[in-house]
Amino acid sequence: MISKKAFVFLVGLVPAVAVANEFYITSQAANQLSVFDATGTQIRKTLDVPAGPAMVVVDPHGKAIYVSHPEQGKISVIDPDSYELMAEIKTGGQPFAMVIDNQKPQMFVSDWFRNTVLVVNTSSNQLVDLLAVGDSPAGIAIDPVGRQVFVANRESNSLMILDADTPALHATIKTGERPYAVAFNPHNGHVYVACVHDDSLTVIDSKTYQKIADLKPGRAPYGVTVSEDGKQFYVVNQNDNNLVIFDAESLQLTTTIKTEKMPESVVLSEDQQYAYVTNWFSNSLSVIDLEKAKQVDAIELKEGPRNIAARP
Amino acid sequence: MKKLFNKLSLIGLSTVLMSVSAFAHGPTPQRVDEQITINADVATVWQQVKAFDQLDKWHPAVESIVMQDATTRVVTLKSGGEITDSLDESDEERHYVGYRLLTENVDAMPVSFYTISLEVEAADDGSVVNWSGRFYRADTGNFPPENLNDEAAVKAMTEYARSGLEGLKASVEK
Repeated sequence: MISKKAFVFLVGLVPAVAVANEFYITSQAANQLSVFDATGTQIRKTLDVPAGPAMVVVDPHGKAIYVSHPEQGKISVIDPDSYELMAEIKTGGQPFAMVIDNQKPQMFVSDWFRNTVLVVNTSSNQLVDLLAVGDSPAGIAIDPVGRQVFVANRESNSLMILDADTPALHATIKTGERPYAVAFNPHNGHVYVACVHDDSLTVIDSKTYQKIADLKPGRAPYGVTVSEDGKQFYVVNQNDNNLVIFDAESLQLTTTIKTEKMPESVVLSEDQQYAYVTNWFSNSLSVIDLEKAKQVDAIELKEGPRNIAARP
Repeated sequence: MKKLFNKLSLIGLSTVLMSVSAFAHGPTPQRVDEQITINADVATVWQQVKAFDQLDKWHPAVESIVMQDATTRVVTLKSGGEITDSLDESDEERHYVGYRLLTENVDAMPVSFYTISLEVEAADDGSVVNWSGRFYRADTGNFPPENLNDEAAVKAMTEYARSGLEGLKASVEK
């Protein structure tokens, strides 16, 4: 851990860009994590991390960056101020997607190889529980207020809804084929599940546990995210090389925006004016102006960019 | 109805059954990105590329093609074994065809999943064909044997693309 004194010193070195508008991007093939400064639309720094970084999440208080390394059976914990490796959580298996609970010091991690969801205590960085789920769990999301966790079982074609506090299963709901990415919309309680094999997006009501709709976002939908106000959700289609926007109320596809090749994941800027898309094949980050509905910049990334997460 | 979760103790970890999944996402996806220049116009090259059921006419590693339905082909390789591809997209305007592995056969091709696209573009002296794709190694566990690891997958997929493009060039230019 970095000392308070050292922290003040570091902030003194980079006063304007210390915290705001920072994003982290994993480059799985290059074993690197890039720090993207959205204010200056540039890569501020690229960090060497342990092999095969796949997914990334940031602690809601901005105190730690978590990077999963499925092929190493571990999660690395990086200090967002010093960019130093603080700890490694040895989980075994193949930890993949992670989601942090902002009510309790815990994180849920899908482990597709062991068909489990791992529960990690983020205070002690210890693996505290393994919950059996369906086959090859991939994307994971949380409703921290309603205390539910959503996990897509890629090989079981289902979404499981787990209790965030007790090892209980609330429901198993059938999705499209090969569900992968999951996002929760706290404004209407809907869960969006992108299904890569039959090119569908399943919308599920997290209160009634019913499927509401099967949407057609495009070919091989890989990433999904929700706007802060819950009015829109965004999907990137890996085989169509585009970003599509849905109206969350009408469930209509309203906008299609071209990205570069094989987009993998999408997040929005803090002010919700831009979407940032990692393009796996092109090794680039698309900067998309949502008002203009087009890509305005493409920033080079290290090989194999997969996931992007914002510092809160 | 609520069902109690099957809790696994940490001590019991080693007894958790391992399974190899057909569709990976934990391992690092690998890429193939090959190009060839062909001395013929885009329309001529596209006629061959778009014929999803006639890969055996120009790919030297392919013995025969049997169509299961309009968008599903069973490819019999000359080295033995069958792989099944599913056509995702055939775009006349872009001169682009995209397909994915539907049924794996790691003995025939050491990959567990792939998406491949072929695109024909105009160039100064004819056309350029891009063969690009994303795939995962055959054994998606963390300790794959040599014949089923990332290197084996990249080698096989690169050779398959390379020989395919050369076969296409020879077939068009002959």
